[in-house]
Amino acid sequence: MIFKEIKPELLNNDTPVLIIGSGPAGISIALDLEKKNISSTIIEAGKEFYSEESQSQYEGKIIGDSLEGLSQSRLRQFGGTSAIWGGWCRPFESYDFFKWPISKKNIDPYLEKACSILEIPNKFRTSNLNQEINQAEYQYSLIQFGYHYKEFLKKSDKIKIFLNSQLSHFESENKQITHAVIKNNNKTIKIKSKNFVLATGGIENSRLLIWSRIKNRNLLDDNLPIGKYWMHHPFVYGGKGIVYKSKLNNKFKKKFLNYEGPIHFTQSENFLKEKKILSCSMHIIPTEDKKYENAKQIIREIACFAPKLGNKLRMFLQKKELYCGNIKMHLEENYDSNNSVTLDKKKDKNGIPMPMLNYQQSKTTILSCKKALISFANFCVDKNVGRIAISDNIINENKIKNIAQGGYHHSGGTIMGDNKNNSVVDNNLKVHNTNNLYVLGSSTFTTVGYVNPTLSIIQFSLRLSNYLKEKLV
Amino acid sequence: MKKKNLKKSRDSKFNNFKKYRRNFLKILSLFLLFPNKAFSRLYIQSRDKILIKKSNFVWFLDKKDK
Repeated sequence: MIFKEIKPELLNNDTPVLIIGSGPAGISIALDLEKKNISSTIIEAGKEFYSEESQSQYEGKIIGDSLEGLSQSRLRQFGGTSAIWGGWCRPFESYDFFKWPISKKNIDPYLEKACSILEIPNKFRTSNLNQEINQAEYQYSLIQFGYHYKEFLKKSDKIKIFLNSQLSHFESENKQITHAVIKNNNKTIKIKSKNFVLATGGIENSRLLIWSRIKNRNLLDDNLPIGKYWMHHPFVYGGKGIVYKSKLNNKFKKKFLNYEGPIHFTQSENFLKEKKILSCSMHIIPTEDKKYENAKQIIREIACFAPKLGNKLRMFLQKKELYCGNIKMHLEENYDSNNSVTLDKKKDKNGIPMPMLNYQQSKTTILSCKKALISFANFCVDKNVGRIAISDNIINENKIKNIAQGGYHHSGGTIMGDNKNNSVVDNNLKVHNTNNLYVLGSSTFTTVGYVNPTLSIIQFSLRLSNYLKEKLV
Repeated sequence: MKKKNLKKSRDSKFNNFKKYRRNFLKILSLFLLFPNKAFSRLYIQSRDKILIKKSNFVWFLDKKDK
């Protein structure tokens, strides 16, 4: 059932699980709990659809290097930011977990179910093309959680959703949370529950926990690094290039993954370890998608300084056997405690301080991108499977500062770890030294890797759902 | 007479050599003093590969591509 606002008479006196946030994380865990016959209540600060007035509450200050504004990179509405996501999905690599207290094996069992929620095939092949370069397979989901699951959630008698309801903070007795304090149209309502799951995204999770610590000094330890180790996926056009589909097919036979859509490359684990660099993904869109315009322009340019190659490429283009275009890259961000979410002096309409993001782009990230691109360009020439041009901004180290754009895929801030001095949640996503407060979403990611985060977020939601079921039984 | 001619030709050869050496050193010093300018258009990376800089991009090409 979905209610436009919260009313005390509509609330269960003691709901087993209270979920704050109705994005992919919140809805996925609620759907899975329902299958396990466990009721849950979802609190959503936004409205059913986009509203400028609601969205303005998502503004915040960014100090340091420039990023996409905080109210442009996320959505405050039912279904969360999934209403504007690109749908690219791929699970974490096993080497992404080297700083985590868990391994890939702990979330792999939830991959199949996560794919069914996103309505994508569970097919994420990786192929080693040589010792340095891997080809990776992505899947693309069209699911916008707010639109797609609305009718199902309306009919559900196990899930109650209250819109326009903003969490302020938590109240507790000792280390047990007793109530969530909710602000709704200038009213304050307290909701009781056995378990509280904070799933409000990579900025709000930190912001609301920091505010809860200020409001309730006994609940959260001062040492907990809430808001620290914030990350995102810097996005960069690393260069442009051409890759021959047929030559890849002939050279690598079964090793070449012949799939539709953009072609994706990444680095092998050995290469990352050997060069001591962070990972990144390289995507080239096939020519068919662009009606050849971009490809023609690139081939014309090549023909000026390499006429033989230019003529050859024209023939390949006619046969539609080229991936050609800009090389889009998602870069792994460095693990840095100085990049953090803190609170601003300015407050929102409910009296909660607005977020303030301190962010400095690391040089390691861009240097890693440069090494990866050079390795890929050399691979293309050596194997004669393509030709790559690298942007001067990346090759020339003097220009390297602050070239990456982005500010999407907010991660970190409430990271997972064994120790309460360097992490906020334990390996079951429970906040250290509390009994019943959990954090869900990419804010708990200890490292971000190169993959888009939503599929992994859902895997963690399903894992937490299993854990809560065992706990409640 | 023969000896004189021989000496003349030896001198002229030596002078030519000095001229070539001077020019060679001039070019070499230019490359050493301004490596960015000297290599801005064409970088030679290995026997089979060439790097070409064209409008803010560095292309990695095979020598046969040209």
